[in-house]
Amino acid sequence: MSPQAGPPLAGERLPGPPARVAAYEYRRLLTSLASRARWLGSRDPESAAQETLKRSLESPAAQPAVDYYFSQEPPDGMAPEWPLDRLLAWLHAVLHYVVREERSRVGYQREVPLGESRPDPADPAPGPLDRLIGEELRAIVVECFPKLEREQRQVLSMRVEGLKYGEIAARLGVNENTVATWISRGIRELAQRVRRRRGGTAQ
Amino acid sequence: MTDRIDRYVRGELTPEEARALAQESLDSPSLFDELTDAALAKAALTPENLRAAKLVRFPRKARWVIGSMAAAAALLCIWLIDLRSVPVRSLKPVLELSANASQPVLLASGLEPAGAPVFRGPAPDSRTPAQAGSIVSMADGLANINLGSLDGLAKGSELPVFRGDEAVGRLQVTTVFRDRARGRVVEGRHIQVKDQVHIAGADHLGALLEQVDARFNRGDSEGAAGMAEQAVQWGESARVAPRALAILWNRLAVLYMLRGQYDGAEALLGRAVSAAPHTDLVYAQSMNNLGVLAELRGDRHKAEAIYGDALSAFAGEERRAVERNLARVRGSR
Repeated sequence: MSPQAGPPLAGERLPGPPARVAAYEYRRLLTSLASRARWLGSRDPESAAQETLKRSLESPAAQPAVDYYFSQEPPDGMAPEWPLDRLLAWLHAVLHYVVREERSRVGYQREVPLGESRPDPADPAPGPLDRLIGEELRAIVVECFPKLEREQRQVLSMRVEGLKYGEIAARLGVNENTVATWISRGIRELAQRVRRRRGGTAQ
Repeated sequence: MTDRIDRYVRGELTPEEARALAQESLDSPSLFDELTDAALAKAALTPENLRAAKLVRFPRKARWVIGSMAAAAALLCIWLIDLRSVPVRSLKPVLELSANASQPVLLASGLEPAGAPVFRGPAPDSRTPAQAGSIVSMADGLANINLGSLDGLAKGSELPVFRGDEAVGRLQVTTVFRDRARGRVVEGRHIQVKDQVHIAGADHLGALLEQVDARFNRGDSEGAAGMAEQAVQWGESARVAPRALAILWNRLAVLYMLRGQYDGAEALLGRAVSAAPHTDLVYAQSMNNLGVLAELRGDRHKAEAIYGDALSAFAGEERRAVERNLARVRGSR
């Protein structure tokens, strides 16, 4: 919104200097999200990125994390409740859903020729992250986890069960550093397989 | 960097370190992707998902043996069982092609199968889309109105402005929010606060359908059916295009069928089939759904004939659903 665009509507952010700085900061995040949206198969990655950011900023839980991790200025407040990985998983989930919406909307517009009309989907629902990627995450584990090395599967399983590094090390007869290495390598290997898996379905 | 990413995936970074890493990722798409993929991998590692992975993890040879045994068992069952004896009441229509192949598949664009992921913000339920609103403020040739994307508005939409019964100008929407919007005056110099704006019928219908789909996809089938009934009532009174009405009728019929209300569905599907052009997707969908209705009532000959008609009208991906429906009724006779 430009400063000449009329008085702000109720609840609308004023376009003062802090908002301009924030807009610049979010443009970098938007670029990253747009790149990912393109990879997910979006036909309009910039819009998908903007919609994702908009929805994330509307979420009381995600908004502080977006501000904290992606604002250019050092944050004033405390660290957010969400760690970075949770925020990134959330952003991916929202983006994924937005791209899905975009595709279904294309089908919808084919069904009903509504001209340029693209009404926003309505009706909120709670627990979006869990509901959104629950099935995808299960598929990731089912398809990719068995392909990890045995040690990685073992330590990740034990870690998921809640065992501490020391307990895992004692069970496997290795030191804690080795456990930590296997865990991080296991997750990163799983992440690579996730990417390859999605690469096959994103096109 | 590797060490930092290792600590990130293990959840060992301090918030400050995580922030620094996040900032770096904004300048490096590959790092952003790596962090996001690792986040997904971490989020995926839950006890439930691991149990699911272990349940399906068989050695390749064992999978081959089990698959062969399952195929043999299936063939044996087909030979032994006369599927005509399967009671009709065991059939339950579904929306998803991936569901049990013994169930008839209904077709309606926009409605997602049960359990499909739904993402919406945390705000509470929204209001019903409105077709008419008003200008709430004006400044510098821009009007703020109390209608938004929820009501079917989109950037670029043009809205006629009325004062009483008199048309006084037009707005072109420049900024859209969920329940409000801003538009530039493109015609008429004396547009003022409290003037009314009207949304085009097709856009309003689209907004109503979005609400139907959103409610259904959220698991509120009763609310979806209620909203669809409201949309049908509006569409019939507003005399929208026959094809749009056919889409409405088919959507409501599917909602009725999923709730077991077959009688109400039949009349709607009949109207949809009559109204839609025979080359149209909604015609084929409605025909398929009529076939499902016949099958549910035990008339497999009629179902087969209708599925055949529906199949000839399909060209897209949904053809697979009709093919499966047809194969099932043929196999069961």
